[in-house]
Amino acid sequence: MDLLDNIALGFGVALTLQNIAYAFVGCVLGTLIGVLPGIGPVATIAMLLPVTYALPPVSALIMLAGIYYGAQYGGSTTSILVNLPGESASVVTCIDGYQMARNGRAGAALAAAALASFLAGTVGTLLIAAFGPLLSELAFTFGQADYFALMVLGLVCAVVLASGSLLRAVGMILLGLLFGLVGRDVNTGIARYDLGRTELIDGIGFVVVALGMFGLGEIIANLSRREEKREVFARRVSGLWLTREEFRAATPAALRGSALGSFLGILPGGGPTISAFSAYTLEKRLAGQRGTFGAGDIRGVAGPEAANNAAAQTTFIPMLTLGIPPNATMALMVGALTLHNIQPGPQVMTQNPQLFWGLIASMWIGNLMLVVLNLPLIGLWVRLLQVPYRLMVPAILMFCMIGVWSLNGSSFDLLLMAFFAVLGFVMARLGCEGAPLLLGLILGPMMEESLRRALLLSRGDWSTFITRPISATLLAVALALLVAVLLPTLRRKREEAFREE
Amino acid sequence: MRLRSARDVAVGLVFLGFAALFWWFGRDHPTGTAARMDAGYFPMLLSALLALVGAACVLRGLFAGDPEEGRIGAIALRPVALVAGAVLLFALTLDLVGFLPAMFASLVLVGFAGTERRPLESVIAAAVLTGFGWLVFIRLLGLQFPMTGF
Amino acid sequence: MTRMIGRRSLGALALAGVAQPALAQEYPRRQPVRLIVPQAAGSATDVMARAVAQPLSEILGQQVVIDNRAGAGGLLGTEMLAKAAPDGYTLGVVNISTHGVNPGLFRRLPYDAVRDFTPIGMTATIGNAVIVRSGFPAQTLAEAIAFIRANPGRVNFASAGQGSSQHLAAALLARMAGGLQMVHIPFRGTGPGTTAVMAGEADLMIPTISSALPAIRSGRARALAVTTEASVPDLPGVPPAKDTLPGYVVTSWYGIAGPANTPAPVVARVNAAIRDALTRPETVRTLEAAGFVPAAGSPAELAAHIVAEIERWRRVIEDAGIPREG
Repeated sequence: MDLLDNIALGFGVALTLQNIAYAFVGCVLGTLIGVLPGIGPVATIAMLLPVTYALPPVSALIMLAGIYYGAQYGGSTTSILVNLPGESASVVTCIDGYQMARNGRAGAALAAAALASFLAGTVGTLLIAAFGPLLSELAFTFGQADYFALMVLGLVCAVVLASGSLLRAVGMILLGLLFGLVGRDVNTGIARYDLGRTELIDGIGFVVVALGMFGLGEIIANLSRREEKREVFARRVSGLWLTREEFRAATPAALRGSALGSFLGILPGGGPTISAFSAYTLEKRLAGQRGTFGAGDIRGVAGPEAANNAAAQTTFIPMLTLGIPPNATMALMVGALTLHNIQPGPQVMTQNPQLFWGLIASMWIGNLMLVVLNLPLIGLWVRLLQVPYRLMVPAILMFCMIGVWSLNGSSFDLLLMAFFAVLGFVMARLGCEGAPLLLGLILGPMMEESLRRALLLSRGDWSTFITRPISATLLAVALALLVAVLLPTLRRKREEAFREE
Repeated sequence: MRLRSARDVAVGLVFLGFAALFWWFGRDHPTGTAARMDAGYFPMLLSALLALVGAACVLRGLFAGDPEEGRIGAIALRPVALVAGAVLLFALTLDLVGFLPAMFASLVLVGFAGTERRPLESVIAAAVLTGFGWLVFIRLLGLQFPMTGF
Repeated sequence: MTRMIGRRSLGALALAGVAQPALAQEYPRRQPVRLIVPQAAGSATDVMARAVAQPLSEILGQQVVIDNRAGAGGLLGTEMLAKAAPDGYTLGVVNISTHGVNPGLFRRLPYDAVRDFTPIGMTATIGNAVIVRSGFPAQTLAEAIAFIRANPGRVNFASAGQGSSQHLAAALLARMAGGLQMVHIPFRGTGPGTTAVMAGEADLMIPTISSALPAIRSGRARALAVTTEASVPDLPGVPPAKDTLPGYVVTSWYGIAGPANTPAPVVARVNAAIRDALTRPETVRTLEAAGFVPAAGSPAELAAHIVAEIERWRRVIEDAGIPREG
């Protein structure tokens, strides 16, 4: 069979001692740097790109892939341990992962994240190997109207994400969307809400808001709790490994997350973030009343982690089969390839099968290595939580400040982070969660752009959103989801009203 | 009149405040029409929606909220002021005195944010962390920071 | 702004006033040379910079460190270069956006593209290709122009963004063809734009040849013309656009410059190093693989080119009624 031959060829390339070593070094470096809060995959790859110049192309790409997975996984670690998402996809992991850590289950959360990522990585790699070229066609069936519908669905997911009041969650999403509008409007080039500052022309960076609201906001919240309630992390850590029940709950969640992530990863712009959010929504809906989402539910870690890793995997498809980078990380990879005299595109598979299949095989090896590397480290990470909180505060603060500065080298970003720290703390005290705001911030610009492009293409005809089958379906799903969320709330309201009379 | 939920009222006011700010700073952009949206269309639409949600929050807080969940409680100003202040201190002094003193001062300051304060320990921790940050991020990773002031 | 080896540079800076000639002779022995790239890692500008920085380091005998300062469409990095100390230890990449289009596009530009810089030398150019979706009813540029003229406002074109050089290249095409009416669909970057052409949503686009190649090779897009002086080896049989529209030549270009008042000996030294680098076979191969055409030149030539480009795009922006940005 062709596929088996190809995979054999790939492993033949990837399993040389030299290339295994590069994959390993890549994973280690990626994990070490990625685990530094505020430094996500893009920054990590950009930093380590020059290291790979001297290597032969296949080895360079293998090492870069290792760095990419390592950085991605490193981000999950800090999300779980200290509520610091290194990139947008790990915001969701914060929600339940960090609560698990506070309940003394950090080990289980980290293990679930590692295993779910590995499972998803395997699924994603197999998909690329078997259906890569076919799947790339999917990107072409998605038009601008369909992207808009996808964003709408994403925003409805953000509502479901909230565990408290729906009204407040909707407000936070709108606030996030508004913050997302800051900066240059792609359609007209007009800078909106830039207050005359050059630093704001590109908009407010995700990392600035995430580290401010999540990282620093959490510090303020913990410090302002009264003495008796000061215990931030459970003293007693109950076991580093998953219990049987957790394992049983997490496995199907990881499988569903892998499927969802594999699909959404192929779409340009969708990628890991939307996958993670929708996987969380899916798990929360499926669990219904029986879930403890928001308070440390293992499914809220396994599902999204699987989804974002599967998506990270299938994001390679448009890049490898078409040479079109769907996001910043892949753009970096394309840059790295061209520096090695390889023009990414459909011809790579036929002209350079060694490289193509070698990379695919090393993707899987990279995923395997991450598990092998990270499972033993869990004990070490968990021990870090035993450090007195008063000493963790300056450490987290330093990582946040260095992380934000490293983005643009701008003091202004630091001031913005301070603003969002205060805002995050105040809103949390008022019972508003940060995740919906972050999702609004990410989706806002994409939503507005795709809406306006869709209307430009249809010459102002709004029916384009209903007449296109994909868009119509997505909007219907969004509507159904919204009704499903609103109905129980409304019913409860009516019951309350009756009871009071 | 007694508030049903102080939180809802406060949240509503925050939302209304931001809606007003975004409306005010975005009022000069042309809105265009629904068929041909201009730069101001989305900002106006979202500001209006946020104002609606804010108003709904206020109303709910006045008449229908959950009094138990709705209590805000006392807010300790010290941690807010000192954590935000530490970031401001670093941001404003970085260009003046360089990375090492700015980071050190900022980390010492944040040591006083909690209720449990041990000055000596804070100073030592700040020094160790500053050194660690310099070694890892500047020496090893080659991030560009101002090292000296002007 | 900042330097990697700050403490040493402070002392050296104090010396700079009295001992400039000696310093210029010693250049660049003191410290690594920072090359500001006003675009993100992995972008075309970055690929060019890295391809050139490597041989430059060898020739100058001093590390040339790439410093990516993306942001605000290149404004931030370019502003940083303008404000850097003119000692030759901070150089930067200038290109068609920062020193061609932006001066005409931005009302408040944080730098003066001519006065705030010392041009050192051109490094590379890259041509564009006029591509259309595979179902577009035209096989040549002339047919396409006729079709667009016959259907005013019904043909749309994609670009990497409002005010991007691709947008202006299309605006220039429309103007030179006698005022064609097309709908502009701006995307965030070249990748999503070419995807829209391949998906058949957008009709036409004028991306750089290297970013158009995957789309053309997949059969989902067709090249009607190249915007260079002559046909290019990558696209055999595709005629230059100027055969149809005399004078229509658009190339993205890249060069290296220092802040204003960079000492002449430093300029001469770096310019010679660039020329030398661009003769090295491995550098040429890397550049060509990424779609660039190596193009060395004198500092004066780069300076003249910058002035000419600013004037050219300013007129296109005014004629096309593209709103000037804040």
